[in-house]
Amino acid sequence: MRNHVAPRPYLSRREMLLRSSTGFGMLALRALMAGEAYAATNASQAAGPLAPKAPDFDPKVKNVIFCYLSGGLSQVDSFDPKPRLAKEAGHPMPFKTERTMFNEDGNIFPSPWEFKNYGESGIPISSLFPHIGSIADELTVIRSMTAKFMEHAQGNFYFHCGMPFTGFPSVGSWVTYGLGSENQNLPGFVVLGGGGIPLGGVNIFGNGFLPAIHQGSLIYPGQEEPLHNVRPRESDSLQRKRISFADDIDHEFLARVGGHPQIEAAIKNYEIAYRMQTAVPELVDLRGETEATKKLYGLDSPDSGTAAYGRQCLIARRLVERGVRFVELTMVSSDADQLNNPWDQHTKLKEGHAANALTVDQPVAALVKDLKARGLLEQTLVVFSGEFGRTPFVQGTDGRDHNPFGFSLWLAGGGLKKGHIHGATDEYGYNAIEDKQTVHDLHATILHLLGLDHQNLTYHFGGRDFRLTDVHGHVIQDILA
Amino acid sequence: MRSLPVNVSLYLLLVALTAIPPVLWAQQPIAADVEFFENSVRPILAEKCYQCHSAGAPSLFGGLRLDSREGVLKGGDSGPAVVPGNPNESRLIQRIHGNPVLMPPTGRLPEAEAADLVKWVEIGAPWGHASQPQENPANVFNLEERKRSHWAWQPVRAAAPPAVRNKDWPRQPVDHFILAQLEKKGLQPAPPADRHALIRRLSFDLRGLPPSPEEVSAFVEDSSPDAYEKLVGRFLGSSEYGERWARHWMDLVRYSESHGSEGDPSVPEAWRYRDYLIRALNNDVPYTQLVREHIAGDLLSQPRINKEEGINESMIGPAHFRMVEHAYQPVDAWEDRVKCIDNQIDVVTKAFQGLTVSCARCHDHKFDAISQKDYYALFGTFYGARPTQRAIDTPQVLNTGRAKLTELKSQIRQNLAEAWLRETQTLNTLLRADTGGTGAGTGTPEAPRSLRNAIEQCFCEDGSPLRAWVDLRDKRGEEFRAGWEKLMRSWREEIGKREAFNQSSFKTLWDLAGASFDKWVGHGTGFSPKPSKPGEFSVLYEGNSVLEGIYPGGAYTHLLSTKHNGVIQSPRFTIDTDYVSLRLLGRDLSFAQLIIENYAVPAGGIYSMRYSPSDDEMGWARWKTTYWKGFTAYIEFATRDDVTRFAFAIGDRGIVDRRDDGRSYIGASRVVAHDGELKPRETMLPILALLEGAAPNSPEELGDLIGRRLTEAITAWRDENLTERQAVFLDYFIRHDLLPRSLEQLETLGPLVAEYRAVEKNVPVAHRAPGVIEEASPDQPLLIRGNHKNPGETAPRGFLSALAGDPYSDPRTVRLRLAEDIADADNPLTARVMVNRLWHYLFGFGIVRSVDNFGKLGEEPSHPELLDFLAERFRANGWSIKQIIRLLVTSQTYQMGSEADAEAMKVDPSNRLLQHANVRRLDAEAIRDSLLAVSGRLDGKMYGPSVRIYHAFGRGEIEGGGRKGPLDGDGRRSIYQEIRRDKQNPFFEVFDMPKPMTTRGARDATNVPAQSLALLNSPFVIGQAEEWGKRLAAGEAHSVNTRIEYMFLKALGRGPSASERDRAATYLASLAQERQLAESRILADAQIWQDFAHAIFNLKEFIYVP
Repeated sequence: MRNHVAPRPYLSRREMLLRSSTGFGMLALRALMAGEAYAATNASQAAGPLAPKAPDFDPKVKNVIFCYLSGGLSQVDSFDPKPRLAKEAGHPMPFKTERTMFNEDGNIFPSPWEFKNYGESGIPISSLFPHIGSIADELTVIRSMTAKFMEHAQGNFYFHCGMPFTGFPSVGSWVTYGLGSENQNLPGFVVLGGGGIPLGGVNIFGNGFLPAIHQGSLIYPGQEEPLHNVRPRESDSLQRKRISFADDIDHEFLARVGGHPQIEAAIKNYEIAYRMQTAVPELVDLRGETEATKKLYGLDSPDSGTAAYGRQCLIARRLVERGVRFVELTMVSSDADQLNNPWDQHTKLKEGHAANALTVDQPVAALVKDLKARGLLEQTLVVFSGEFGRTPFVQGTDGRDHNPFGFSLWLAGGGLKKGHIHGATDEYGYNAIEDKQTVHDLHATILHLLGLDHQNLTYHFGGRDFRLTDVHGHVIQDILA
Repeated sequence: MRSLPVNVSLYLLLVALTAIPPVLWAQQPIAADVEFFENSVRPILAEKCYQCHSAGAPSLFGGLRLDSREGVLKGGDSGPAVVPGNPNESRLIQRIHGNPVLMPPTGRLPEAEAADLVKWVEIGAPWGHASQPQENPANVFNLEERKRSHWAWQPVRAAAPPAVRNKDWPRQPVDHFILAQLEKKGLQPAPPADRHALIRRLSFDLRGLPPSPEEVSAFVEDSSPDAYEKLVGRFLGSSEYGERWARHWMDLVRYSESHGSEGDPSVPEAWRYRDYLIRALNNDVPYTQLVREHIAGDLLSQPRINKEEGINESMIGPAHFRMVEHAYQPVDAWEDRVKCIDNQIDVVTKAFQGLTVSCARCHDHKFDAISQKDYYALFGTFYGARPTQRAIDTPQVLNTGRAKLTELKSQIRQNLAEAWLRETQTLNTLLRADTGGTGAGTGTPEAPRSLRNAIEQCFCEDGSPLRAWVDLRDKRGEEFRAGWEKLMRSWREEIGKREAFNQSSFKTLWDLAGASFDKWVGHGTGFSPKPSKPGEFSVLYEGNSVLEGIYPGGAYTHLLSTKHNGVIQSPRFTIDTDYVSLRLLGRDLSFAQLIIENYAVPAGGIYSMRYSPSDDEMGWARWKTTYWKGFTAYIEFATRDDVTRFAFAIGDRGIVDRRDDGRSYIGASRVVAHDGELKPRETMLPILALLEGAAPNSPEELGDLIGRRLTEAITAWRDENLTERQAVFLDYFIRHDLLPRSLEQLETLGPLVAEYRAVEKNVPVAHRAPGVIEEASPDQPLLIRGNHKNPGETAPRGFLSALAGDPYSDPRTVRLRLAEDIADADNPLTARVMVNRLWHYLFGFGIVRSVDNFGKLGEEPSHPELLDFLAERFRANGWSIKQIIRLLVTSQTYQMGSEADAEAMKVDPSNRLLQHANVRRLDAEAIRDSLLAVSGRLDGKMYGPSVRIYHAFGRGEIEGGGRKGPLDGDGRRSIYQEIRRDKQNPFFEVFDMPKPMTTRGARDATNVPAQSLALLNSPFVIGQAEEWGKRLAAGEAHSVNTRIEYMFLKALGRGPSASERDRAATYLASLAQERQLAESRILADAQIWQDFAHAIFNLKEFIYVP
């Protein structure tokens, strides 16, 4: 059973002095301060709190990029065409449907968009997503997703943490807890902020009861300070002087208490923090990218949303290039009222979904293409999903209410059947009826692709062992290559 | 083995025989087939089918069981599942092959599995060894056995402190227990900590703040033998003690000021609970008293009164029940409620009993002596606790002026009645003068404007008595009589129609003027325990009018003062109609709400059943309830600040934007259920009073009749025996100013009303805190497998059967009983769990390290005798928390140094035996408070509403339009910073403040680079360095050295060593050089000292206490 590590026994004072004063830790810091390249510090990084850990079995992928479409993308307008909706437009649903969030249920509402078969696989995709259409042969579309909750915050928590409430670790937290990360100068679980936070708040990226190192770190690429407190407020020289002074005093302290692993680790964290101050700005600095790359991602797009989301996607690629384990992209929206759940079209489906699709379509397709071109796609899993789908019947006159009973998402990357469609909803796109999958199944599958057994990844808290998948979840074998 | 009695063994034999499927009698399956079934078929059935089609299924689907051959052959509702030998005719096979696939619901079986099932049917569906899956005997739940075999359930047995060899070392009994164990391992305790380290450790442990340089010096220089004891006494007696330890307690009850999820609605006035804890701990209220208050503080017959503040402290205890996380507008309110109760059970049982009772929600506990029935015994116990805001002032305070107001109001009534009786004469005269259009009466300019208005309005009013007058005043003789007859008939018919409509269309749920009043529960100064009779009124607190009108029978909050508060709630009922309508009046953001299950934070949409009246006269409000049919609900009428969620977008932060004199009122008389859209029609009209008795024969007689009825009504009103009909009639004349209301017209009333208003002015507005009110509900059913949609047998309310006996039979006192069971001196867990927590907070680890779990999966106590010794001492000392803390911190064990002995590290690397003190990292609050204390910014102001959260990311707004709070939290201690679920102060978060989710008796002390970044770069830390730098530069110091000395002392409780001083001087010199500052100017340069202060804040010793 993978479980948290027992506290390290204390070092003897002699060992401590050897390891911390003259050992790699100090050498590294001093080398750094002397301005040497930090390649020399690799050896010291190995023991960091996020040091890579071996998976349970051979992984298919190393990293995850999770494009989260908060608000809920409509399946019948994107990846699950339902011709019957057009035939029966305006008629009542022929079977009993569940209670909805707003209780303004109307009649069958056909998709305003045309579907087209793309690629050799012929996966049908609506005209909302022409660019994603161009990568159809890379996709594994699941049309039979189900969630358990009707409401955004609960849905968001559930989709991230497997539980509908605060206090449980996010999937990214579980992944870094299980595997660590391959870059010690950046957080292992990065959330790229687009401006809004999905409803429920930042705890949907929270570490829950796992150690704080596993919480999602919000990086805002466009902001002056992309990561909280990462920007030094003084000259490098002043800061080095301070760190160096503190380091000297700290070592006297460490010696006085006879060595203490926690204090030693806290000292070491200054090294990492110091390097993060360089690594994070370097990460978000896109000047080194070619014009062609920028264009591919839509950074030159006249649509500011496309450009902003394009920047997120490009940075996501840079993050996985740097070995960051789990990257989540939040949505971008120009509609200030919809910042937190842009896809939530209770009214004006046509306008809202079109604007959101324009924002994500080109950048996400570019991300998959670019990852592939760089040989990274096979070691990365890209997930594209919202917390639930939407009703095939209308809400009010031109919207769709929430529908967790059947919706679509797609995956791309290593270990998956490509150009593949899995599962089905009924003829109206309302209930998943074939190969019904739960969010727990998705989580189990993500962990499986990363080489982790979801039943083994546990953490003991408050009297019991917790899992991301609670007591549920089955790996979706049918989509594995 | 002993032989069983004959009848028993015969019975067992019969059971065994009947359990064998009949088919097997005829034809024994061959071994290979059985093996195939066991290896290939049963696993598929078990994994894919048993969840719905077995004895263990939460509810059997389609009546089909696939866990025995009998079941397979018999089949379900649609017929046999399997026809042996014939797959095509077997429904089971048809269903797994369909397109779309019908079974299993999780999706199409893999081909190999489907093929195995087909083969199995082909070979005759052989079955295996036993038709019922065998239960592993080791897993069988045996409560008594589990209780017997686990230490924590056993009674507390205090033993004398053990003998030790080193007799000089122990100072307290505690030390004997510790030393004895160390000696057993051949270890000696570490030498005592030096005085600098000791005072710093003690100061953080007891106050959460560093000692001031003066305190350090005084202690170090105090050579009296009881110097340390005096210090302990001073710290324990300081108000900062409560601020420190209340936060520990808040971790135990997952303190939060909001409910989380979308919108993150506030728990109004949650901070009062925090203040309650601080006061209680500072006053060393006995632990069991606090436990009682937490569970049933609203029900205690002798609550704990805080005379100084004039508040009922006990009432605040249950506030923690309210700090649950709610889903946003859940479509299944019952599911949300089940989760909330689960969280309440989890918190109460972990916090006070160290048990994970919540693990028994779906099944008997996997490891502990806790049955699923026990869980639902507690579920039922908490089920009746409805969320509400409670007034916390003492009755004396709340009833200020009540007797006087009652007396004055009675005099006002008498006086008014007299004035009105006089006035009836005038009115009668006026009406008489107006008969036959002679011109002298109501139509003339001499007639009062009010009468002229009333006559004008009567054409569009429903049932105005003046309408009869206007219609008939010109008529004489037969014409008059015919007119009167016609009028009477038309009204009788009209009323008859209305009554018939009402009767056929509405089901009266409650008549609050009558008998159903008693079935409601309520609280607040404003609600009387009896329904109000028709004719009640409220004396206006300002203005020219004495009153607005009089009311029909019902329930009102403002009969003495609109500052009085009130909440009244209906019995729980199951919604089974499309509409619920209610007749109510009220003003100033009072609210009527339909609370579905206990979801008391509705915002709109599917939870739009809220109504805020803004009229002093009764009217009907209607709620559409179709969506909620089948759910249970109750109706609540509440004055403004008693509503659990404020209206619309106002949010509780909006209070400041509203009139904030605390006035608000509400009254209600009827609640009806109906399926048609129309609201009930009014049948009680003013004109009805004229239809009774002898008919008038002329306009004069009609005028007399009106006067007579009015006189009767006023007299009845004066004597307080008004009928409903009279009340409506009289109210008409009052509200139309046909009877005087204004002080100008009522000169004799002036002094009385003035006196009334003067007394009313001193009526205090109640202070509210989150709380609960008991609805007195029946026992609840167990939920099979924890599924909220799957009720099973009833679980009588009570405590854990391993700890108590009798069920709680009286529904009104279930929580009181639970409180007593937990506070019971014989409860072995209550004292042990708490002393262990105290130990944990002082030593870094508990004697039982899993402080929240004393169950089988928790850790065993390292010093069981010590734990029981302390538990016994705790009980013997009247459950005084301070006395246990004093005992612990005055032990030699507490005062040891933190340097580990090499031998000890080998024998006991995790220091369970406490050979030395544990180095501990300060928690988030103590780090922040230290920064403020050291910089000089700390504002020691206690209590009050929380300071808004400073947060760096995400939207700036929080509910109610509040913006993010000040960077330095106004310099207030961390305990006064707001705690919300969807946003956390990033500084707290990075230093491991727990999320408000469940009991957290032991915090993490993680090490993450984000902490270093915060201390290096966070504007808050830099701000405090700047603050300190400025103060230092402006202050006096003889030299750089003395200032360094002082800064070390202030921040670390000790002076620098020689090498540290040198290093500091070098650092300062290089700073001066970098900033191009002459040496002579260093002392007065704020920037340099800010730099240096910032460096001190980055020392590990600043946050790690040895």
